[in-house]
Amino acid sequence: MTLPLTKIRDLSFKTSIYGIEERIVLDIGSCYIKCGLSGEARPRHFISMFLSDEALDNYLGLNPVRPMHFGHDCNEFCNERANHVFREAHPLEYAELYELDLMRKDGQGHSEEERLMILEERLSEYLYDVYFKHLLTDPKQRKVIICESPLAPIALKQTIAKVLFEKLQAPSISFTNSHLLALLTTGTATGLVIDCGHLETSVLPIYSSRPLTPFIRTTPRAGKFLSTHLKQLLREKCPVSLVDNPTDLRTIPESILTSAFLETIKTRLLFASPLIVNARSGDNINEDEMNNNYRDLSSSTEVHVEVWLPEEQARGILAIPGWIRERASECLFNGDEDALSVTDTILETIAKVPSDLRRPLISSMLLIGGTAQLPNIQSRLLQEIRRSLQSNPKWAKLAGLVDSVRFLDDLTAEDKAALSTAVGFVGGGAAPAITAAGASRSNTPSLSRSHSMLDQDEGSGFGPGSAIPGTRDREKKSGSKEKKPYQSSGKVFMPNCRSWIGGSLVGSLKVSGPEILRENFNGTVPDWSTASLSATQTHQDAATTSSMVASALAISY
Amino acid sequence: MLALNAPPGQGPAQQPFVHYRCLCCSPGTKPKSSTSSEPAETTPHETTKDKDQQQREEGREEEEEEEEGKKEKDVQQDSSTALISITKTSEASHPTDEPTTGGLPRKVMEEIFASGNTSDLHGSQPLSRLYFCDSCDEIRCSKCSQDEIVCYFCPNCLFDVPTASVKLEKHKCSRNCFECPICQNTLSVVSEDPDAGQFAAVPPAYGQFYLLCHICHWNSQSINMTFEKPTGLAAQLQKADETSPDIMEFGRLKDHLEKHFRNSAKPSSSLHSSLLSSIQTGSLRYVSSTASSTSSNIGGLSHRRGGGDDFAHYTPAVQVMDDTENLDTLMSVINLNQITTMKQRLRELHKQPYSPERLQPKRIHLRIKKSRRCRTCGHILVNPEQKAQSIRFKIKLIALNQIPNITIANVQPMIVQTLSRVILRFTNPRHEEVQVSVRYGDGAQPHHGVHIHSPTFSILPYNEVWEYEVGTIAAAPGSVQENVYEKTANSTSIVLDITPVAAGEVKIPLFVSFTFKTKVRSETGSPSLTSTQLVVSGASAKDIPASDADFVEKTVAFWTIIGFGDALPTLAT
Repeated sequence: MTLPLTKIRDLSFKTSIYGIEERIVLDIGSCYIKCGLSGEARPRHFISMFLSDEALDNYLGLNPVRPMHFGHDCNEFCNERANHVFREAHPLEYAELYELDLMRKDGQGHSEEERLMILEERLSEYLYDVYFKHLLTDPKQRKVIICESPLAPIALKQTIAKVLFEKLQAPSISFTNSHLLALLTTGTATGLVIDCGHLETSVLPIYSSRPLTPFIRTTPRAGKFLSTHLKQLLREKCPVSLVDNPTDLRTIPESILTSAFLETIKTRLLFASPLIVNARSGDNINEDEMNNNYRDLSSSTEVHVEVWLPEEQARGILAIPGWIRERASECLFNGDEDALSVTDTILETIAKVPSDLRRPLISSMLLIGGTAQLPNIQSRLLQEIRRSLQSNPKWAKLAGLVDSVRFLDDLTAEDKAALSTAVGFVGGGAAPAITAAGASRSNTPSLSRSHSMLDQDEGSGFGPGSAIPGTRDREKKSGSKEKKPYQSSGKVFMPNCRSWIGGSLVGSLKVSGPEILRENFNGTVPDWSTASLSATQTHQDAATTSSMVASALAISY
Repeated sequence: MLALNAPPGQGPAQQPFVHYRCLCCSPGTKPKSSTSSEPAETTPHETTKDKDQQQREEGREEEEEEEEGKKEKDVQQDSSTALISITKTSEASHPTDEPTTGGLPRKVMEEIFASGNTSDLHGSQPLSRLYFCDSCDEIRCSKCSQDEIVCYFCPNCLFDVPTASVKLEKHKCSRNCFECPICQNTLSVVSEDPDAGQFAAVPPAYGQFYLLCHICHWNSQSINMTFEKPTGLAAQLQKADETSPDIMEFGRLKDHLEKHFRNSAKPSSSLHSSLLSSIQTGSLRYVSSTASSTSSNIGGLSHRRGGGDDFAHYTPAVQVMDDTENLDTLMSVINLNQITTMKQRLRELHKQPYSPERLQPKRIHLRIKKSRRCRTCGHILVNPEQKAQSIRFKIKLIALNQIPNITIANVQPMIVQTLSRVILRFTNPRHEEVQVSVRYGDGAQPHHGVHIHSPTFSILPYNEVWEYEVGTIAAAPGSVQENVYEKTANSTSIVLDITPVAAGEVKIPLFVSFTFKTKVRSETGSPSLTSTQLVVSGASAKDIPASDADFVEKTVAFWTIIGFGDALPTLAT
């Protein structure tokens, strides 16, 4: 009986042919905009703020073609210019759509009004493209759901609302917490959501579908930080040789190291090393020594990237050694006082929440965001958390939680075993070896360097024969405590799509955050930090002032 | 090649351009930017006066000549000692200006002048991108017009896709159009030729057709994708797509959540409340309540106390193995090309694989034809024919056909503090003769010295016959005294003397207004004219309604920004 019913319901979702009940779901990040229609399992498009690959190749001088303006081949007297002020100002450099210090003067001397104007200009261009180039729908017909980070600047939200209402005339917008949406895609309502994006990593505990926003913790160690670190590594450690004369080494010219180039390297060559090298054995280990350790331990290959050297007017080869590819992401796990490591940020959140919530939260972590796409970063993070709990005196009071540390989208050992024996499971080939081996390794309390050397030898073979049973037993134990352990679906959804997918889910069920109607839009948007929604609508002036106060408060949290 | 050799850090050399600015993008219209409108208010009042007179008194050209002279002097003075002249005129003009600004047109003209008096390129576009609304008599750009979708079509097979099936097909072509996963060019369906012999070993049941990219030679056989028949490939691919784990899991999640919402439709339902009204609750109070409710949970009380605090147990539809292939690929990669680019990856959003072997061909994304509407009056500016193959427009009110087209006919290299002569050609696309007046904006930064030799002139109407004429046509008798550089068929060239004051790109803001006589459209003409607020149109329409009942004189004013390339530093340095 139930089957036909569900089928009918499915049909009712699918047959909205002319349907305008599907909403537009937008996840506007600082580097990528994810857009699509609600009720669909994946975003339709991912719009990048970076230069396209062709543009990058043109820029690096690798394409021996005529210079292109936007969209057409042009001669010297072409009247056509870049159709955008911003691109004009920085024709060869991309910029993030927004930054978190939106209400301050930036490095290029733009005042806050100018920055908001630029933001508005760019947003309206991108969102116009979203509607008329990618989604091909009339903006006037469909409601919009926007996945918002709880700490997104209110000015950004207001600008998004302004563009959508005034330029595109969307009927209604609702801002919905992106962390909560991401969590919904796991089928649970309790979890610690770690959004590792471009500008910052934010850790938000959600219990019983209540986002515990006061306990949110952030660190700048995220995509942008990684790019900066990578830039430094490339500059210092990677000499460029000429194609014609390989022995002629020189340092990489600064002009090549653009954000788009770094993004290319980052997204195509970097990964998180499965091995932890212990940095904290002595406090005064300098960076060079650490790098040497990394180099000695690396088993990854060196990659040669062709670049154009403008000074020499020649092609050069940038050799990126394996250890940089493995270890560039190390900067996310090594923290200092200014910027906590991702691990410490997570544990700090855990330490802050009421003690009865700690175990349920740490046993259901969810890593989302663009930087979480970095291969192997999740299992590495798991190891780091376990190691910190065991060996870092700072987190000694949490050490009891070490058995419970688990990501929501990690399969349990039983599931894995069941899957690998089953025929025709979905996913990668002889996969489990590495992660299992990595996880087992983290059980060794503190890894000295010699230890990890051994491990590395072992790991290079990736023999599945390492000590898996131990982990499995432990997980069984922790699993048996609850009656029904959470059954994970594994990494079905990509971490960078999860909050969008949550938005799509919620949109298809006609539930979402508070809706702002176009008729009621007065320039302000509701925010968790501001006063109640009704107050915003009725007492506009009071709401704006209180929103300022509240946003100031939000920062002080 | 020029730009290729230029060092990337500096970018290519600035090229000459002519940009027009739509009124909606004028920086002055926004309340905040007071800096640009400030100097504009202090424009020399003589200039505005003679401009106004020139509009009203068409016939008295000798007097105009005199005043032109006066204006030229003024401009010269302006250019040499810009600051002093501005402050002087502001003092002088303010009291005298007040009583004379009685007429609306001049005021409007001044408003337009003040609104865009800057060399900032912001919001300006080449003429080819602009429209001209003929009921508002204003330039319209993409920002002050509203787009509407006319029809959907596939850019590859040019088939119209009915609106009904667009959504179902996810805005992709449902025919045999695919794009290459590697280079995004069009794939073609190729059959293995059994006569060729090499592929004879392939069993017939395996499928004979595959997709091939003619650009990068990607071949769908390389990912074991072959088809038995060459048609309906999209449906086959889509079927495979529908069983992919993420879609199955999504369906399960939707059912799960729907159940949850149905069971806990009470207002106290926490997901509802956290989505809908969590914003309202004071954060501190709400934390304590959460904590207390949890402790009660742990204390063994009923879990469902709060009306379904947590979700029911969820069983996933699929379980996906951890994917470590990316890591494996990455550890042993040698060449950058062994890893997919972001662009390739982002077309495969559910997997985003690192190795190119796992990319799948994609159906080609549809495109739309759009019509554009003026936001002020709602009239359609551009409306294409509904068929995909047709490139004609039913309505085409583009600015190129309505507004004098300015081109740079000749430009000398710019050197700082050296006078260089520039020839601007104004071409009239209208079938009426137009009177043009040009004025240099003094709000430019930096304020280059500009002298316009003939700030007012006329351009003969456009005539199709001239398309076939070769060479220039001598100026028509009677307009010789306009003292322009050159007057040909439907274009007039004028001379500008420019003295750049600083090195860098030379951008000159020019305020252009043109007047033309047009047939009044009996009923609709006059109300639309009176309703326009920003365009100078009223004066003559009101003054001479009886004498020329059929014709009405209209004036349209707008800002242009003309770039003349980079100015070199002085030769001495």
